[in-house]
Amino acid sequence: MKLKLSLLALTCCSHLVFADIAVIVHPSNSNSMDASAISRLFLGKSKKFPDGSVAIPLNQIEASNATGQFNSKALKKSSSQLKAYWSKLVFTGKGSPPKSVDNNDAVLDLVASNPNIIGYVDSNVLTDKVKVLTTF
Amino acid sequence: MKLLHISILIIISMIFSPVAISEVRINGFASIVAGQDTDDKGFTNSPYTDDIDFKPESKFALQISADLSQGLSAIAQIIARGSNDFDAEFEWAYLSYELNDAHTIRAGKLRLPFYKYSDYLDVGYAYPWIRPPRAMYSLTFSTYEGLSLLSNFSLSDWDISSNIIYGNVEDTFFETTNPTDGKLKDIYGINIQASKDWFSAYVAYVGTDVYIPTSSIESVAQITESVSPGSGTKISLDSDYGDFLGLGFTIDYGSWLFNTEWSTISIEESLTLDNEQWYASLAYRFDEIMPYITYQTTESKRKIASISDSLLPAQIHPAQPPLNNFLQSILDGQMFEYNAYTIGVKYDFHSSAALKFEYNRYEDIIDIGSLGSFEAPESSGNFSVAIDLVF
Repeated sequence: MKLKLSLLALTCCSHLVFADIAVIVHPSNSNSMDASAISRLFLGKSKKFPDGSVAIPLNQIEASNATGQFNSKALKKSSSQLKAYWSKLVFTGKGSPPKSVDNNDAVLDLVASNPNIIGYVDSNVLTDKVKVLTTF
Repeated sequence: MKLLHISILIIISMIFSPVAISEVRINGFASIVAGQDTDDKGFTNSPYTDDIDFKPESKFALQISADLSQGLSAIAQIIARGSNDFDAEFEWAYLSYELNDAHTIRAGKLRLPFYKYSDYLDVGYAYPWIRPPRAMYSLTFSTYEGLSLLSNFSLSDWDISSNIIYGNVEDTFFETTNPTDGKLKDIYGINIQASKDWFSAYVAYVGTDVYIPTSSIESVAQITESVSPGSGTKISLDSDYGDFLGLGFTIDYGSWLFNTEWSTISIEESLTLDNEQWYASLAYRFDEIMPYITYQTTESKRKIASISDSLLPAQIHPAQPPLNNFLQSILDGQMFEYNAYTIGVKYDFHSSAALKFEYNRYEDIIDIGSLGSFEAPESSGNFSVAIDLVF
C-alpha cells in the first residue's frame, strides 16, 4: 500500500513536471508539419495545412498548463509577448488569435470531430481518437 | 467628410444588424499616462508643463469587429483621448473583404502607413515605450479616408506584406501653431515589410497634393505675388506635391530588441523646409522587466530662396530688402532641430497590462516658439509613468 501510494505520487508529479505537449489532429489528417509550420499556423501567419486544406488552430485558455508550455516551447513567446503580438493584429484588423477552449478534454473532443482542427494537449491525456503530429 | 459619416453609419449598422452577423468581437485598450516636465519653458515638443498632468496622453478605446462571413467584416475603433477632453471619436471605421488568402481590400477611414508602429500607434501595450519617439512620429494627422489593399506573400523563408493605399485627408493642420483646415488630395502610398526569424524591415513611400492655406504662408505669398507676379504659387501650399519616405528595421534576437527608423518629408514649390528625422532604441528583456534607451532627432534642411531680387516696396517693408533676402529670413526663421535621450523601463506586471516609467532629456535647438538658438540650445527633462492595458 505504501509503495502504491508513493508510486502514485511519483506518477502525478512526473506528469505535472515532465508531461510533454502533443500537437494533435484528426486521425484522417495525413499532413506532417514541423515546429515552424505549426508555429506559423498558431500565429496566424498561415491558414492552411500543407495539403491546402483549411486549418483551424485551437488554443486552450491562458490558465491552462498546456497553454503556457505550448507558448514557450512551440511559439517561443511569453504570454505578455504573445498578447502584444496579437494586439498588433487585432487593433489593425489584420487578424485575431485562435479560439480558446477550457481544457485538454475539450481539445480532444473537437479535434476528434473535425479534420480541419489542430490543437495541443498534455501528452499524458492522449487517446486513439486523435493523431499526434509532434511533441514539444 | 459627408461620405465618411455615411460610411461610418453603414459600418455601424452592419455591425449591429442581426441578420448578417456570424460573430461580433469587442476588444479594447487603454493607457493612463501621467507626465511632468522638469522646467516650464513651454516646449512645443512636450505636451506637459512643470505641473503633473494626466490628460495629454491618456486614452480609452473600444474596437468592434463584426465578421459578416465569406471574408467580409466591418471594424470600428472608437477612441476617447484626454487631449480631446475624452470625447469619443471614430479613429478607424472600415469594411474589409478577403479577396483570397493573400489579398484583403479595405475601404473607409484607415490609418496612414507611414511608420513601423503607425498601425497601432495608440496601442501602448504593443510597444516598449510610453509613446513612440516624438521626433520621428511627428506628423499630426494619422488617418485618411479611402482604400487599402493588404497583401501577404512568402518568399523562401521571408514573410513579405504590403499595404497599398489611396484616398484623401481632411484635417486641421498646424493645430498647435496656426490651425488651418486643409486637404491632402489624392494621397497614395505603399508600405512593404519583410521579416524573417529575428529580423524585420520596412520601407514606406507616400505622396500627395498638399492644400493648406495657412494664414502666415498666405500673407507672404501675397507679398511675393505683388513683387514678382506669378511667383506667389511658389510660396503657397496650393496643391503642391509633398512626399514622405521612411524606412527602418528591427532586430528581436533572444533577449535583445533593437529598433531604428529614418524618414524625410518635403513639399515642393512652397515656403516650407524639408526635414529629416531618425531614432534608435535598444531594449533588453529580463522576463517581465524590460529596460530601454532611445536617442531621437529631427532637423530641417536649409533652403535657398531664389525667386527674384526685386526690392520690396517701402509700404510693405521700410528697409526695402530684395525679395529673396526677405524670403530667406523667413525660411531661416523656420529652421529647427530637436533631439532627445530617453531611458525607461517596462514592467509586465499582468498578462494584459504593463507599467512603464520613462525619463526624457530633450533639447530644442530652435522650435517654432523660438526657444533656444543654434548657439544656445534650451533643454528640459520630462518624467512620465504609464499603465497600458488591452482587453
